[in-house]
Amino acid sequence: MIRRDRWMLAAVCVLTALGFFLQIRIAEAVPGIGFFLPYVLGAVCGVAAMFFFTEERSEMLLRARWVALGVAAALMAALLVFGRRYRGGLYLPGRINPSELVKLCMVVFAAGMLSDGRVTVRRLLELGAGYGAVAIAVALAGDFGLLAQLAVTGAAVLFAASWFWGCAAFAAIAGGVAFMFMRPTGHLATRLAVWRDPLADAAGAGWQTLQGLTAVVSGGWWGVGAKLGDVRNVPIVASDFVYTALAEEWGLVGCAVVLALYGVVFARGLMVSARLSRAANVGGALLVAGLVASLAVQVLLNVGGVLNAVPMTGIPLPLLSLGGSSLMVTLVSLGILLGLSRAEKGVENIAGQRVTRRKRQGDMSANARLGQSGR
Amino acid sequence: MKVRLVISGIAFCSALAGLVFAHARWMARAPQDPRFVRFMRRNNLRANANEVIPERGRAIDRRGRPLDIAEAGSTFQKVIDELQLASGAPVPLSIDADLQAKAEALMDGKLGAVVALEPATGRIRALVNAPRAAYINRALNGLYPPGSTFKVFMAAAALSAGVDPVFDCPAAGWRPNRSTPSIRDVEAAEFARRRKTWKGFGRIGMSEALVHSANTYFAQLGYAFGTEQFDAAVAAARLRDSATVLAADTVSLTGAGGGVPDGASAATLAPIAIGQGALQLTPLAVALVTAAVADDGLILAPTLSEAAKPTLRARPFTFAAAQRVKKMMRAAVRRGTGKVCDIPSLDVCGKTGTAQTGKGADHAWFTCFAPEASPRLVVTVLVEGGGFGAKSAAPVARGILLEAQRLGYFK
Repeated sequence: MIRRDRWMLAAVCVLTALGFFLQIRIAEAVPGIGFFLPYVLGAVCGVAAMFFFTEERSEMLLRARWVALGVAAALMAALLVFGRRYRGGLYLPGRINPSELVKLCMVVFAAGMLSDGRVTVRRLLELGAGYGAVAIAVALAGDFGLLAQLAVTGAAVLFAASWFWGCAAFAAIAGGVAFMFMRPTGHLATRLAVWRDPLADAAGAGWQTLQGLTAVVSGGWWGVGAKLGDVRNVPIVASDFVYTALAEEWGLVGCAVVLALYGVVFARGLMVSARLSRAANVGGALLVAGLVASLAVQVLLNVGGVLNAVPMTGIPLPLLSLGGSSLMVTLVSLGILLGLSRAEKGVENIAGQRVTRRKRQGDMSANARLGQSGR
Repeated sequence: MKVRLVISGIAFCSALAGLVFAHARWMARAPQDPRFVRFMRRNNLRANANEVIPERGRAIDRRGRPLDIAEAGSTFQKVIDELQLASGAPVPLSIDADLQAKAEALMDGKLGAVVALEPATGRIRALVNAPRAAYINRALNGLYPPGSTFKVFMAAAALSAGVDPVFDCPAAGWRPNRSTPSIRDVEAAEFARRRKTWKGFGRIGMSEALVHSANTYFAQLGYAFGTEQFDAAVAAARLRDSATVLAADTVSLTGAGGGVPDGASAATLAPIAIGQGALQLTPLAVALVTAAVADDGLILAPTLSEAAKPTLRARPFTFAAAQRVKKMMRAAVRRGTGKVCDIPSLDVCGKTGTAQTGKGADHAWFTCFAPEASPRLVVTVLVEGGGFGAKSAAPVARGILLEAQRLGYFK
């Protein structure tokens, strides 16, 4: 009997439905927001991805790692060439934000590079070159939120593959962040100043953050009730600041439930990753870990930014924020996750078959661990 | 790999828990943050957020002790509320809690006001409105005829303009023309009541006139001074202008401008020169005129803020005129109307005032500063319906000066 991870599926469905409800509700208060199509397309693509991406097909995806890198680089290049400024961010014509797709491609690239479980210097150099090229383009576009997400996601994939290099990558990120904090310039400096004290320029730079926090405070513990809040006050409430609408109407309790649902997705996703690694599918495991890390970083940076716990980075909240491309790519990556969570009862049998297949690729460590587990 | 994945999972989930914590912490702390509450009250349309009422703003005195001098709901309190919201800390005022307490105790049971300020900085050290519960700010906004305390202004303004005449001051008084009643001296009525004859002051100069508060002299001085010079002197002293003593963004505590007739004829100036007629000043304005004499002819902007830098408000009198009026005020305390306030070892300079209101008892004034050589404190006392200034207002000023001496103001 084929079964996917039901807990994760349930959490994803609840979050998507909640996002749909919130967007309907916000669209009533803030006219002129079209949101229906991305949900339909995203749902279709996500369900298709869920059914399409079996373990074998994910290997195809991982083998196409250089293609993924090429797509990411091409998207960034197109953004730099054709991009238009809107609210401090760079968008492709039609106000398409390609950052979600770039992130997905880079996760595929990283997982594909490390899919045999061996972290060699040559691999690292190739990985670094690919990441570096895209990161430079992202930095040129001035999207520090995406830069942070790419860095942390890549480091998380590396960490899943190797203690030493993972820790080294995180240390490098910490150094980079420290450097940026010491010498912020331009847009970044403004955001850091707002993070340190949003009230210093309450009517200017801190306005949006403070309006968001006002909504959060107004919500209190239990919220004012669904559709009873006054969500118009917060700028960009539909996308980046959707958490404030949630906080105002559903309160801290509702927010905690939503964050717990994200926690379910992360935890179950990492369990899928662990199972795949036990089944010696290192590439799949890394891909899943990378997707989970990508989602987690997005949630943490968005909600942390809204609550002024971390500097504002201007990235949407997965599944809840309005945003066509963001929602679709998020649903597709969750579809990949759910597809890979597929396992038949009696995992050992299937895993055993895989071990024999993997032996050719020489993953001795996974093999040995499986031997110890004693089927 | 499993261990690393578990570590990642723990990291992600604890970060999520951290977000819930951050959310709860902000909810708990935001209503305590006066700056954020201020932002909410200004920029939030939600009804529920407006229910968060900030605590009443608190003030501290110049030495950091808590002060309670403003009635809830008064403009004063609103300014303090807003300043506290802006800074997030109790508002440091220039008030001296000890001096304030003493002044309030001395004014207990009376109607009136006390202003004590440092002439060299304009900082207000005590500001009393008696009784406190009344929502009338007598010290800053109460307009009263200044009575004889205005003679200080007339003397200094005349001397600054080079007018220093000698007038005959008969007991029968003096009147500018036949259609107005005679302006007499208090002594005339006093002697008449005792059925004795008074010869009048005779021919006296400004010094003797101020020492004995001779109405007949100052009425003639006002007449001789004339409309143009008087208007120029009033403008130079900014008597008509209001004075903001404590300002916040949207609300400020301001002393009212005086009611001084513009372009008054010489005949009208005769009663004005003795602080009667169509003349009304606040106790703060009287204190500022006194401070101008004390501070060599300069008026520093009065302020209740300990942090505010001293700024020049007006320059009404010349140095020489201020010095001469200072000597006259010293003589008025040593041997004139203000004897009650003559404190040994403290060369007090002062002027009494008894303002007729036209109804009921007279208002009693006393305005003074000390010491003569380098004035440190100006004290102006008004007691509504107090009768003679020397009788009811001067003892209050004396008590405040003694307390100030004890507190080391004159060292």
